Parts: sequence; C-alpha cells; structure tokens
Amino acid sequence: MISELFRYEFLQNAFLTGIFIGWVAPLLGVFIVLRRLSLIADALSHVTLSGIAASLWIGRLFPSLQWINPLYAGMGFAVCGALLIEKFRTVYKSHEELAIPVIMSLGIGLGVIFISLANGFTSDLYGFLFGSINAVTRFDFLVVLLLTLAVTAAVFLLFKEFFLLSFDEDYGKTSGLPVRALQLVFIVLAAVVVSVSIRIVGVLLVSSLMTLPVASAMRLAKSFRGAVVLSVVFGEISVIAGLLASYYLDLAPGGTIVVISGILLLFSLLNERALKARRTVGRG
Amino acid sequence: MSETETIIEVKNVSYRYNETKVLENITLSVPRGTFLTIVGPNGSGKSTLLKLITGLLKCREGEIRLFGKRVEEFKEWEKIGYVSQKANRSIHFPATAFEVVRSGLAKKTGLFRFYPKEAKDLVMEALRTVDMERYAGQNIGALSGGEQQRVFIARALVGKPELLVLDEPTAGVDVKIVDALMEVLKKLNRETRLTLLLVTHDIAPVLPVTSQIAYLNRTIHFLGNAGEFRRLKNEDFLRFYGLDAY
Repeated sequence: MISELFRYEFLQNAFLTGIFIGWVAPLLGVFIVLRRLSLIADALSHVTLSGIAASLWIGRLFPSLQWINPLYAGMGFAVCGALLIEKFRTVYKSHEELAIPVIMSLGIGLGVIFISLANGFTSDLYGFLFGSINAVTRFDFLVVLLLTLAVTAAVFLLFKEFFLLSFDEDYGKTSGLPVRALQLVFIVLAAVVVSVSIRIVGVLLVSSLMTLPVASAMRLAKSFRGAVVLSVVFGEISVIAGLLASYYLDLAPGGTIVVISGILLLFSLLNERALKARRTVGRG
Repeated sequence: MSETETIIEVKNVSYRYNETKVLENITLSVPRGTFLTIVGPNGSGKSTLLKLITGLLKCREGEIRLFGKRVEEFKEWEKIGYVSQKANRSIHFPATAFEVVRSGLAKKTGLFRFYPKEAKDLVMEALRTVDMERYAGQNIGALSGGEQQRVFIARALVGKPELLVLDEPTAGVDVKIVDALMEVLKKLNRETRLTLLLVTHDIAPVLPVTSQIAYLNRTIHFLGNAGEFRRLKNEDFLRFYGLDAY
C-alpha cells in the first residue's frame, strides 16, 4: 500500500483524512463520554444526515447548486442542531437529558422527509450512511485539516475548563466559570467533529469513533491526561489498522475501523481482568 | 481585610419550588473568621439556602450579600471555596487527586491560559493541609469516601479562598473518618481564620468544632453558639419540628 500511497492522490487524501479524524474524534470524545453525553454524537450525526439529504434534494431541484458538498450542508445542520440541544437543555432544566432524544428524533424525521424528496437512497447517500473515504477530495482533506487544527486548539486552550465541566459542573458554576458559554462552544465543536468524521465512518458509525477508543482508554488510564493520550492512540490505531485491513481485505473502511476499535476494547477489558486476577493472586 | 467584615449577609430571604415554600424569612450574618454550621432535618431547606448563597439558585425574595456585594452582582467567586454534596457520590472518572485539586485553580488562572508553574506547589500544599499529599497520584475513584472528601476540600482550598462552603461533607463518609475531617476544618478555622459555612443534618460531630449553629427547618429556629445549642431541651426540638402541639 505504501507505494500506492505515494502514487495515488485519492489514497493520500483518504489516509491523511483518516489520521486527522482518528486524532480529533477521540480527543473530543473523552469529554463527551465523561460528561455522559455519548448519545449526542448519534443525535448530531442524524441531524447531519438530514442536512446531507436536504442538500441532495436542493441539488436535484436546482442542478446549478450541485457543486455544494452535501457534507458542508450537513455540518451547518449539525451546528444548528447543537445550538437547539443547548436551548432545550435550558428549557427542560430538570430533564436536561430530554434535549438529545428530541433533537435526534427531529433529525431522523427531517432526514426521512428529505431522503424521500431527494429520490430515495442514492449511491451518494449510501456513502454518507456508511462512510466513503475513497471519495475524499484534496479540498475535503484541507477542510478536515483546518477543522482538526481549530478543534485541537480550542480543546487545548479550554482544557482545564472542559475538565471541570466534565468532572463537576456545579463546582464550575460556583467558581464563576462562564459555564453556559463553555457548553455552547463545546457542543458546537462536537457538531463539527461529528460532521467531519462522517466522511470516513458514516452517519451510522460516527459515534463509535468518538466513544469506543475512550471506553478502552478509561479501563486503563489512571489520570485524565492518560485517558486523553490513550483515547487518541486507540483512535489512531483503529483508523490506520482499519484502513490497511480494508485495503488488503477489500472490506468497508468504516465498518473495519469500528470493528478494530471493538477488538481494542475487548483487549483492554481482558487486560483489566488479568491485572485484577494477578493482584488477587499476589494478595493470596 | 477587616476582622469585623461581614462575609455573608442574608436578609429576609424566602424561596419556593413551584407552590412549596422551602425557606421563609431567613436572616443571618456571618462575620469573618466565623465557623457557622447550619443544621436541620432532611428537606429543611439547608441545601437550598446554600445554593442561594453560592449563586446556583436565583434569589427572588429578600437579599443576599457576599463580601458586601449583592450576590447577583458578585464576581469574585475565587474568594469562595465550595465542596458540594454531589462530591460524595461514587466516582468513576479517570483523574488523579492531583488533577482534581488543580482544577480548583481553573477560574483563577483564566480562560485560554495554561496552569502557571506554581500550580504544582499550590496543589501539593492544599493536599498537605488535608493530609492527602501521599495520594496525589492516586485515581480519585480508588480513594475511600473520606479520602475523596478531603481531596474535594483541598480543591476548594487551593485557590486560597476567604470563605469555605461545605454541603453535607460527612454524608457517606465512614464514622471514624468524620472526626478527623472535623479536626481539619477546625484547624483551618482556628489557624488561618478561614470563614466556614457548613451544612449538615448530622449535628454530633460538628458541635465540638463549630463556633455558631443555626437550626433551620424552613425558617431559622435557633441561632447561637455550640454551648447555647447544647442547653436546648427536647421541647425546643419538638417546636422546631412543628410537633409541639401533639
């Protein structure tokens, strides 16, 4: 694959885009999982799907607008969905968790309507559902690179605030942090990461790229910094190994990446059990 | 920094959740250096009062002042260290005691800034104060309830607050550990003149260390020192609970 990687631009785009997404999805995923918001990735990916379907429908109605990449329309929808989730959380203060299923249902509902208007499941839509990394253009890659840099910078600059929001939101409020503004920034970052990650794993699998590496890391890490580093390492291993395996075994890249994430999770669980057993034997 | 300065002033505060009045006409003031404990049964409005004082709930009736400023306009939250009741829940979070305590410096450090170099020394000093220095690198979930509570007190102390607010710090903590925890609070109050506001339903361990006690059950039935509180009779408590008519 290495020689082909130097030869074909589409392979370079796919591989490099995968590496950036393997970095940024688990990086933000750590905070999403620890804030018990894992479902948010699913909700936002379904909202992204409705944006993609809307864009395909508009492209069908007005062929002159077909140049617009449906993923960017999806990203716009995802950001709007993220802002709506935040709004709903304030409306239903004592049932904040309602916001996510409400927006997810609306996302699916709108998606179904736009899909039917856009003439049902086309190959384009199928690619967005399950990932279509081979269709990544150089422009797409540059957009992913730019967004990865922006999200990484935001996460590092707000790392201590995001840690506090994840660990103890009430303490954040009483210490005078601008919690509402931080939550808004966080959810918009989540929307951006979800929509760019859809390119490689697709709408149906995007949440796994944000949660599985984190789930593995949480079983092994003792510190928060350790959990972040391990999540990103597991994310990268999943993406790189998944892309290589899918290339040589002719498998769907998105599914292969997710299955490898699952295998890593299994290893981390087995490793934890082995460590516990060793400790018990040591004490005995 | 005046010794007679009033740190907390609560004037005629009432609060209701929908139609249920949980606080009625509360008035109290906490001068600098005081260790005030608010006691009362479950559902007496203790935590609500604390949430109003710390700005987690909006004060709609009456007035609350912190360091002389109305709570709605108060901005210097770094002057207050807060140990929440939630902290007592079992914690499965990949963070060390060091990382948890350091997060107490987040506001003071400022947005878009990394923790300063001296943060490490400040964190270790706060952990030393609560005798948890040797657990700095331990995962917070691996510590016992009492040890976790000490870590949360260290987090509240790391920013060098002038007022420490604790919501049910002994809930879920082993009885043997509670006395040690109270000794830490007493030491902080006596040696550093830190003002303390503690809310609890468990009166016994607090009596030897607190300087003032307020008995709350929707309204304040008693406000005085620990000696005066000890002299209260059974009939007084029946009256506080609204059972004197029986």
